[in-house]
Amino acid sequence: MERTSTLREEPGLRAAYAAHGGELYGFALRSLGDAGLAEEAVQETFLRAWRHSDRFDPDVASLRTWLFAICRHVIVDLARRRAVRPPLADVGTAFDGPPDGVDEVDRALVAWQVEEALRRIGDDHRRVLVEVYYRARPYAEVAGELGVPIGTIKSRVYYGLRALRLALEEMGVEG
Amino acid sequence: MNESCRPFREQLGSLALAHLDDAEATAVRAHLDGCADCRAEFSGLREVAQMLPLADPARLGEPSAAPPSGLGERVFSLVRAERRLAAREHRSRLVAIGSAAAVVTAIVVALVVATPSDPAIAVTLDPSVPEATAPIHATLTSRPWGTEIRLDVRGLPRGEAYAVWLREPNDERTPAGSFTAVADGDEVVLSSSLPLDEAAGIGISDGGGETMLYGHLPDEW
Repeated sequence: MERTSTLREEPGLRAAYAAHGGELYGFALRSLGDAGLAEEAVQETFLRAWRHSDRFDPDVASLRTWLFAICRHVIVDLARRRAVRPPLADVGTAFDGPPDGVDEVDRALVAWQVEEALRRIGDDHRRVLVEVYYRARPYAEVAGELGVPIGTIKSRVYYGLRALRLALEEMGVEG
Repeated sequence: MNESCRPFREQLGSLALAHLDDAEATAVRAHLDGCADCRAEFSGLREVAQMLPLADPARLGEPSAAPPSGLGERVFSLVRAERRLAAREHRSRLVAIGSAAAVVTAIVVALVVATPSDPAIAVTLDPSVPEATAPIHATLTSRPWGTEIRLDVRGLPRGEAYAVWLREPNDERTPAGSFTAVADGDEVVLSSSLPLDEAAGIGISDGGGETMLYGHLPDEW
């Protein structure tokens, strides 16, 4: 209840922006692919949060989870709005830019969160995950390149995934 | 984790990524069958592994996107403006609450004049200064080219020129034309290029640019 009332006031709103504004912007930019629209999404998210601050219940969800839920809806609205009004020159061509459904926005959210989590883990762990998973390179080849035994590569994959899991948990991603 | 887990534990990541060969995978799975701790660990790693395909590794080189420096202040000033409007609406609602007419007005505010073709909405614009003028009623209709606005201007002082605008959620104002209130005119019809579903409010300013009346559009209708 206490947080509900503080979000209604500017200091509470400022604290919420300081804690989550940056990541909401990152998520909106990743989903919409347009800096102007991403800004609009963040503004609208906080405006709706302020308007409906009485609906925020910290016992049900964290502030972060609640703000991201609002932001998802805002992004879907913005993407739909853009999709129904394509630029005149593009009339008649398929629109394949931004997401136009909740599922797609949710996928973009997970994608952004995993990328953000990968940025947060140690360089050694990230590098090995990128090489053996995303580039599908053989462990032996990566081990040779890094001058470490294959067992070390396996160990880094293990600790890298653990670190990633922890980073995702810290970001509030439900498993 | 006990000592017998050690040789298997660090293979769990590679197992989650399906990177072990058959013999290695069989050995690790045999251990998992008998070890609840390692099973729990493995299931956590597999959840993470299942999210990996969504990420785009090409984006990892880019730093996390930082929001533009002025964005926070724009957010706060937007909310301050919204707070002022809400306070004003609250005040004018209090002023009007005694009269039966006000109750009718409140119903009109919420009324959505839905037609199958062009959605329309009825809005009451409240004066910024409650005594300055009576509230006036507007009907906004969504048109292919934007928004058609019909204003019942009987409550406005005669002979004056007024500018009408639509407010967007980001607080920008889109002009919606101007008119002069005349003695025998009840209704004026104006238009704006802003689509109705993008309008957050409608306002009327006097010749000096001061907002005289404002009505908030429902978020969803």
